[in-house]
Amino acid sequence: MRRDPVKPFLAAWTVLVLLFLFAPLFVVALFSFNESAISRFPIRGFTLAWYQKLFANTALHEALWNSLIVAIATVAISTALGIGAAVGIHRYGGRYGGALRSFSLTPMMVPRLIIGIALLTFYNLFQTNLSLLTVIAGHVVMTLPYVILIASARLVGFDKSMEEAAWDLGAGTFTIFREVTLPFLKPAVIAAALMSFTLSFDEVVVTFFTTGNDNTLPMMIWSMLRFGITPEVNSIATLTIVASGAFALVAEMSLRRAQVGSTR
Amino acid sequence: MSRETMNLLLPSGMSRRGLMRLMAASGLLAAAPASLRQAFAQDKSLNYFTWSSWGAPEFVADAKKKLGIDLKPTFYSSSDEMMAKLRGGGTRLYDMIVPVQNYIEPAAKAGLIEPLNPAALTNKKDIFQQFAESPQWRVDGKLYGIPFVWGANAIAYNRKETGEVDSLDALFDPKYKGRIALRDEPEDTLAIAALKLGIKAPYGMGEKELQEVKKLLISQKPLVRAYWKNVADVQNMLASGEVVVAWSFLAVIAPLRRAGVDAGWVWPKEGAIGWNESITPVKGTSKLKLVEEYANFTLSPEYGEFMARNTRYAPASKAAIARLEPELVKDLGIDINNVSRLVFKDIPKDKSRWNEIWNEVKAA
Amino acid sequence: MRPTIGTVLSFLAAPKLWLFVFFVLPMMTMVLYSFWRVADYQIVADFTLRNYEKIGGNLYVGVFLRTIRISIYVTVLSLLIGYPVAYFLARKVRRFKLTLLLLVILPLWTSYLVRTYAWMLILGTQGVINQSLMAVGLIEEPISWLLYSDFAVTIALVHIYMPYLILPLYAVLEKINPSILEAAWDLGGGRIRTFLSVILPLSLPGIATGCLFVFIPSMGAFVTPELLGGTRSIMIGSIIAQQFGVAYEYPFGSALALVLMGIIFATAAISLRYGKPKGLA
Repeated sequence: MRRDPVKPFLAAWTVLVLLFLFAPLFVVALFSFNESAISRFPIRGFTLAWYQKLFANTALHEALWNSLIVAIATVAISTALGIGAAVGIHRYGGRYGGALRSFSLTPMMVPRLIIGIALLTFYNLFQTNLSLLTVIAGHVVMTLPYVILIASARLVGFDKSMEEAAWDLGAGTFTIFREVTLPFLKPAVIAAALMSFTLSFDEVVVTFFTTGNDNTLPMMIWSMLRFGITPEVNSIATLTIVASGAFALVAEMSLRRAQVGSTR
Repeated sequence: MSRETMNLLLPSGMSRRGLMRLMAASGLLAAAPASLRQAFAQDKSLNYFTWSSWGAPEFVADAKKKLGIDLKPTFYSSSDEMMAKLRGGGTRLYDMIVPVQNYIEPAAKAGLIEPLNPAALTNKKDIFQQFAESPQWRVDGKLYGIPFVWGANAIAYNRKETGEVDSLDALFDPKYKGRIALRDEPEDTLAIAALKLGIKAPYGMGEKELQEVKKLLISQKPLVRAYWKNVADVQNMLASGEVVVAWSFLAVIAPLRRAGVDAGWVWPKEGAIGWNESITPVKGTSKLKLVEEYANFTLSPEYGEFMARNTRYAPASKAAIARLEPELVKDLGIDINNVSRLVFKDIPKDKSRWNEIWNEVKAA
Repeated sequence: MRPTIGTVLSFLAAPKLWLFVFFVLPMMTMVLYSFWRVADYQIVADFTLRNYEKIGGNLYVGVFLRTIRISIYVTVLSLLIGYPVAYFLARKVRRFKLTLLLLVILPLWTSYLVRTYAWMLILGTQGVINQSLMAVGLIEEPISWLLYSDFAVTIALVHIYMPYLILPLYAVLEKINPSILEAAWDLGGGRIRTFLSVILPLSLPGIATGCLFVFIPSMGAFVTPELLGGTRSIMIGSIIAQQFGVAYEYPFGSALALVLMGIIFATAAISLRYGKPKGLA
């Protein structure tokens, strides 16, 4: 390798960009411990009072519960459908594989706002009652492409001869799927599930248009921002940052293990 | 997302979608969940679609304590939002709303609300006559509400920065350039611009006057920091010093003072935008009796007193005001004779034109 | 393996059906609604082109143009800021590569709302930047255009969407075969020429995809401009959301949304076509 005069500049730039990406999150966390009722700089005093207030808030418990219901249902449905779709496209897609995959990924090309209002219009046409169910339907549309993407990436490294061998030994399609394909896909399944969970757990725009009376956690943050900003917003935001960060770490690690495993 | 994942995102051409077949599948949704509300018709909870002030935790706790009713509040921040959400499926979600007087007729005509049984509202006797007997709460001889509160949208200001304010001029004063906020709502903002221009009946403006109003608001834009949509926005701007004078709801004053801001509140001498509000049942609620019980409760002296002390809003109940100390009444500025200084909200002749004019101001 | 129709369907049909019912049908419903109208809070199902005619007026064309303008600012800024990062990660580091990549991805997992709100704390009159600058005496008055301005909207959108640009760019840059670069060197190309004539063209597909990942959500942004925008920062996303959330104008909102989709798909088609690697295909 030649000596590279550009490298230090690129490194410094990258550090600056990372600062830009993380600084706002740190600022929110910092303000969550601020004693003053008004979020202004510089910070005055240290307190955990906003966290205490937050935990005492029963609306928060309900919102958290609703978010969990939605996220878990979304994960279950979109992981099952997405893995099925990825395997299906991989096995039977043939020359339509690309087109099928593109179709499945289309929702990624559509702003969330439009996914949300399109669903609202659709529900309106059929006079459907808005509830967590209508939210889940939207979240699955939103997360499905990511699941298919992650599973398809894993399948690129899949040796089809293993399935062929199982077939020759007389195993049925679903047995093969359960005994051969699924174990191979396990890391991708975990990563996809965590990714859908986080996407769903943090989603506000689609939820905003498709929910009825039930608030999810991001909807509660949105509601706080609309109807009364108190430092509790900082606390709840900080908690979501920490939780999401933890999920991201686990997801990335399991995905990484998957890739290391598939590299030959 | 990892490298392999990203590779799959690379150009493969946009999808071509075959859009036929399976129209029938949509039928699934139509048949989907029947109203959960029916199933819980017997319990003492009310889905309460309201302004954030009336669904605050202390009101929820108060209803639970005094009536054993569980209020489940959801908030809106404008009458338009209330109407849009009711129409867009809200009638199947909510039991009661708190409309402003000028939306009763359109809401009743659109089949969004349900009349009340006047006999159930025994506390009506304490309500000021001009509210209790107001024709705006009656459509085709049916009663859609008795107001429990009245008030005005007016000017909130930071006394430390501005001194006393008494006129709409403050909102147009270059001295406060970049420290003024107005409401992102034509019903308020076009009306105050009209008042500033000396137009006596803002809600009856014709096209010529609308154009003058538009001109005034566009010329004022460089002075304005932001148009606020939600009450938290304006409260936050006043609290953090982003703005020093704002067209606002009264609701911001109490929390601002609690946070240590010397917040003033004034009905400008040119006039303020008046309103009154009542509990009104949503069309098809299975809990009409319970809604009526709560509506009557909001007319009670206890509720009026509780509301005035917590939010500074003026009760429509004489008996409620009688329970407040005279100094407090004076401090809150509750004086029924002031009603004549208000321009009460009305639906403009051509509402969509108002919206358009406002969007033109914003896009200018 | 000879799949039966049944097995193919069970793998492929369920996901497709879900997308059909909850994505394609809703989009079609929007097309339908966009030709209807509202009268007295009722949607009336008779055919009209009025919604589209209304969009053709000065007002909405202007808002579309400013939305496109802001989205282009956001995209170009993200590209200028993000490209060196992607390049560095893909070609210049070994040991901490995965850690750094993870760090770029991490913010994507946190809530869009929280990341928008954070900028209010930073850019406000009493925010971190103004108060710090005043404390060290660089400015005497707070800089007011930091918040409630196009600047605030742009910087927040860059912050929110830039990681989506870095990832595909990284993927492409990493795949470039080092021997091609060696060849370019050997042919006497300087550092800059090698970059301009070899690396840049080869990374075009990544640039195209990455830019789309920023441009598309920016075009549909509505929470960010609403929280951070000033009196002039109205974007089409807000107007669309308004038709559904505040006004009961689903037909007009649907028409606006479809025009927006049209612009997005046209942009996507063009950039994906020109985003093919040139020469060495």
